[in-house]
Amino acid sequence: MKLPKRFGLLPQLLTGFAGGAVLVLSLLFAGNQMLDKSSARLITTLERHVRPLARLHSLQARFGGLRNLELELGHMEDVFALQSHVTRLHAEIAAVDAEVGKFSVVLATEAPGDAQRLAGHWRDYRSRLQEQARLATEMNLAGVRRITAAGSHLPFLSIQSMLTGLAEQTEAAADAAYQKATEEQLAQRRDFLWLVMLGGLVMFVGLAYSGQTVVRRISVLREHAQKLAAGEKSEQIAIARHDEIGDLAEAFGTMRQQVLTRESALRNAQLELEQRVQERTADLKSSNRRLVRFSQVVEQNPVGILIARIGGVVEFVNPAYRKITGRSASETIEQPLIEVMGTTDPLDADNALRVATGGAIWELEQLSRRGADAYWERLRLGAVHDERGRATHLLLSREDITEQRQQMEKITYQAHYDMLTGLPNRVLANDRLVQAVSRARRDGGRAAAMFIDLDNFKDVNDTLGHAIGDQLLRQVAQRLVASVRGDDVVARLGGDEFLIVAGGLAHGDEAAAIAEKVIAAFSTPFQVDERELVTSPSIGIAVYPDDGTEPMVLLRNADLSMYEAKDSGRNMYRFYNRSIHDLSLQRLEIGRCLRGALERHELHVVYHPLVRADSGCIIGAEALLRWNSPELGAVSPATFIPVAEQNGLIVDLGRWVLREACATLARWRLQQTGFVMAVNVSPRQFKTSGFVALVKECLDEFQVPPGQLEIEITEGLLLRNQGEVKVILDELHALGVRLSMDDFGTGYSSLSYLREFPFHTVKIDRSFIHDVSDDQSDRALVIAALRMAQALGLQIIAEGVETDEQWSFLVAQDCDILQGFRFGLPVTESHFGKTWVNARVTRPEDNSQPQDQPFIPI
Amino acid sequence: MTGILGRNLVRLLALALLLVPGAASAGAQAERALAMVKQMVAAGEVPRSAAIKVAFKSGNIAALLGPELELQREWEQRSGVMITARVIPQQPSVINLKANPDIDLTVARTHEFPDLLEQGLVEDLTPLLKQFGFTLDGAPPQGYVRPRLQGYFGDKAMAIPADGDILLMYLRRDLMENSAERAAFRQAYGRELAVPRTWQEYDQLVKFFHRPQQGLYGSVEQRERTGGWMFWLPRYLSQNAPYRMLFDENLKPLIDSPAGVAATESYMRTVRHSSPEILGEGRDYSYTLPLFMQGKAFSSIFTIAGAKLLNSSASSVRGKFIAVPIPGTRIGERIVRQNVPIYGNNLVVSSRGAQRKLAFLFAMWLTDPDNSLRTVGVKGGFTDPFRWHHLGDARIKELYTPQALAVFASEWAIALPPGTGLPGDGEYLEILDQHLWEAASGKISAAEAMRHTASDWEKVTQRRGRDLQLPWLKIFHVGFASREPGAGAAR
Repeated sequence: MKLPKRFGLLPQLLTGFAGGAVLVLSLLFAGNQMLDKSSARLITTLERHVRPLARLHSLQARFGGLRNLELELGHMEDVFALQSHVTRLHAEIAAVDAEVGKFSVVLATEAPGDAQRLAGHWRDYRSRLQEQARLATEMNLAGVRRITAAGSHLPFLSIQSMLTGLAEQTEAAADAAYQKATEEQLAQRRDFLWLVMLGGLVMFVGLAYSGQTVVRRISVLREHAQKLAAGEKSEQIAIARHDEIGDLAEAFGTMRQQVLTRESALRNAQLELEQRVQERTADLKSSNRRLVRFSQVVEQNPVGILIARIGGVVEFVNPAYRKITGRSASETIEQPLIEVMGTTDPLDADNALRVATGGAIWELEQLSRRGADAYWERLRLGAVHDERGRATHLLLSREDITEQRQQMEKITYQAHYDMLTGLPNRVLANDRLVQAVSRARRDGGRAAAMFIDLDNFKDVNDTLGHAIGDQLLRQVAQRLVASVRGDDVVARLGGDEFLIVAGGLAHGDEAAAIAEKVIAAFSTPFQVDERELVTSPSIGIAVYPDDGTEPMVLLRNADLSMYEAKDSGRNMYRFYNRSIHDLSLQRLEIGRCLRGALERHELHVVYHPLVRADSGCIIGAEALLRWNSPELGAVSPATFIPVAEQNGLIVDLGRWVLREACATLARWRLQQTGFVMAVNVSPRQFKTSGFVALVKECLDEFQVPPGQLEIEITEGLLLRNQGEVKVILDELHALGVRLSMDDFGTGYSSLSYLREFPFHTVKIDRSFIHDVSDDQSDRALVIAALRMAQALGLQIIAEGVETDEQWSFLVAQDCDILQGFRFGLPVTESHFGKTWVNARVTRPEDNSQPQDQPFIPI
Repeated sequence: MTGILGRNLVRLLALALLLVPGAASAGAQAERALAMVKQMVAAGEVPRSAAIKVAFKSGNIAALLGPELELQREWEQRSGVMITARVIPQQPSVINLKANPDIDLTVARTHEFPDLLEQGLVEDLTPLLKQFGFTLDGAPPQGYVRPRLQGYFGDKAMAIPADGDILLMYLRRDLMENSAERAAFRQAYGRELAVPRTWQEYDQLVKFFHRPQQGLYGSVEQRERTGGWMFWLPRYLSQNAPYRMLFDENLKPLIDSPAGVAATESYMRTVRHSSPEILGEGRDYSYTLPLFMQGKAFSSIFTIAGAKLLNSSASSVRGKFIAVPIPGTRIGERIVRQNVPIYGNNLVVSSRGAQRKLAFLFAMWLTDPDNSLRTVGVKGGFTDPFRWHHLGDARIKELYTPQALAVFASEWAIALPPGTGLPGDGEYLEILDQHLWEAASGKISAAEAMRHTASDWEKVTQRRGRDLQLPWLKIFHVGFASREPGAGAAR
């Protein structure tokens, strides 16, 4: 059905109200217009008649005032008051003149004749007033009084008479106009009332019609609703208009349709409910099956499970439980839980019940017995809660953990014993040492810590491999154990280090006996994989309480003693003594004094000449650090440099030496072309970050050609972190600085080092040069080194040249540079500058080599 | 004319130039007065709604409160204190003060001070001056003109000078300079027509120029019954050197003497060369000055205010008159000249006023150097220069003419205290006026006038008590020997 265009009740009401409002507003507007017009008319009336009247009265008053002034003037007695009075009179004449002018303009529009007559009278009167003012100024008061009495009186009266007449006329006209305006206002008020009544009637008719229409339509709806409630058949309501009542009728129709539909739905729901009952029944069967499965899980669980009522009586045990405990179901079911639990301590069972019923889990691991077998088991007891959180049952689980316990014991063993040798490791050894010291302290006896390090074991490991090394260690362990007393403890601290803890000693000498037995035990070579291996022990002994009362002190002192044994030639034992301690203290003292020595200017650099072997020309110098301590006197570099190396001071010292050497070089190179300055760099300084930058900074600051500075490093530096060292050497090489390997031959003297690293020079250690005259092997070694260096294109410097014989030999072997006491001791900068720069040493056999040949790097 | 007046004018103008104000603290007096008022109001000494009641004569209103009352308006705006003004008639201030007991401030003439003081009608201003830190300084360039003479009686400050009224003689300059007149005069009197130095020479001039048939009177000096003493006293005081007293030390009148008779005769002589109505009632300056102003008289004697009127645009004698010093009497080889302040508007504070302090402060504000220039400068007003710097002000010069101001300045040097200096001064002077009038009217002789006056004065003295009067006289006589600035220079 096609609905008419929608026009809702709200719009209808709003339209009605709007129409009413428009009507009311129209009436108000019309009324307001009428009132405005009426007011305007009254105002106009006032404007036209009342204002002129007021102006007239004002003018009359002005004239009155003027006349008073005039009269006063005539009666002035004091000539000194005249002037101000005349001034006032002039001012008043001017004011009246202006007012009359304005009044005349208005009057001329309505009564031109009156305006002309007024102006004429005023001119007459004004002239007389001005004459009086003039006479007063001239002090002619008699003349003033004469005019006042006769001359000005009539003009004043004429003006007053005329103004009075005009006022009367204006008042009459104003009355008439006001009357007329009032009548018109009444007529308009009457018209307005008629209009209001008509408007009210229109509004009433409109509201009555609208109300009747709404009531009729709502009645139709009510009838249909009653029929629907009574179940009577009713027809669809015809929707006459498309508004809220139309919406209500439509909604009613929809509701009627839905009621019918819902009846049908209820029938369908009944059928569906029956079907669901069937489905739920099937679900219950399924749940039963799951319960059976769960029961099977419990039954077949390897963990023993016991369920008891909260009161403590056992209800259920699974097969695993029976298997773990070895008890049958009849021995368990309906038995008190506290008995069934089988705790070794009955108090544990009581505690377990208390804990479990308190809501917590109780646990216990215990060694139990199953018949004759012992086994470890873990018991757990807890409460089972229903849906509301109430404890209804107790659940005891029982697990056989024998295997887990065994595994844990193995781990504990490994933490305290050396797996290779089966000896106690460092942890257990420390513990045993503590026990031994405690016992000795308690008993007033002695205990010894014997630190053993195998001599040359590293060589075995490096050359024959770790497997051989390990076997050797196992045999060493056996021999050590065999060498000591029954109560002594032999432990492996790691690597090839062992410790013997010997307690219950009466004298320290008893430890010596043990040490001798150990040394003797090593006298027989070891057989490893059909190899015969020889190793010996270096043993350091520290005895409680003579060498320390604390285990850690004893261990440290034993360690120091072991090094003493090593230094003494190995395969021997050394007791800890005072000298070892003193040496340690001395090193500490040197470190203390060395700190701040630079700032106190206790250090200085000396220079040792480098001599060209073939010509005897001085080609450079090696900068050497010297220390003259106010407290310790002149300290040997061999003594203080290792200390400085150890405590890190070497970095600052090295930096200072490098800067001093460069500063000196900067001066000497100006005196001797190509002069070379060699500077030793310690391993620690070399690896300090920024070392390359320091070298560059010195070169830049002192304007030194890089090729005239030679950095000397020892062979030992190359043994560790070769990659890192190579990077630094490459960077120095890139700068153009010369690089020299110092003390060649004292270390590993690996050819690969010379090949892989960018060295320019090799310095053969003085120990080889010393015996080069007498020792064939040394001579061969030096020759081999020279050849090798020559083959690699390196320059050779022979250190420690002390005799002409050595010099001659080295010249014969094409050695490049010589250094040694043959040429003199290291000297101070000033001495060197005077003596050695641009100098030449006379050779033993004066040959024909050019004397001033400059140093030319190879 | 230069020949006639030259030497005198040069001297007078030189004196006037000395009095031209230099750097001064103009306005400070006014600001101090305002500050004091505000302080009193703030301290609650006077209510915020307090108003000062002033009473001035009709001719003084504009002169003392400014044209259109602008000074009153300014005072009210700046101080917040209202002024209620009223007009009082031209009569002795004793009468006015008694008739208006509620007023705070009014004006009084110098000779009235003994009566006012004796009757307790005015406030002794000495404590007020001290309290508020003011002085009535008479030193040029800005000081008051002869404050001891005009504002004090003895050591008591009676008034704040607000007017400078000393007698000047006005002559028709055009006639004096007329060669025909000069020749005729020379022929008649055997001497040159010149400014009169003595009362005798003055009589000759008056007589010479008295031509009623031509509408010119020889003199229009006031000769009405009231105030005759003002024109008689300079004549009497100059009868002896240095001056002639009215009373001796025992208060015996000295006027009944040849000196008194001579002065009275000189006084009487102008009547016959004056307007026939000159003796009429009310023929005061409002009668005489218009006559001179209209060119109907050769001479007159009046205060410096006369110059203001005669020099006005409506005056027929503007530019034709000259102010000259008051003549004297030849005593031996010298001419003794004496002058007295006559009208004078001195501000007095009523002892019965509710706002005496405020009235005093208003008076100080009004007579401040700056503000006073505004009162003196009122055209046609009665207030005349009363501070030395007024004489140098361009506007004042324009109003009065520099020549008149120069003479005015010089005449203060010979000014002596006016009146009798006794309580009952009004009564004494009224007696004198009456007998002078009778003599001038021809009813009695000069000798009779002096005898009657002396007799009547003695009665008054006896009635009032000689012993009571004597101390006043002693104080009054001290004033004759004043050495304040501007005094005695010409003596």
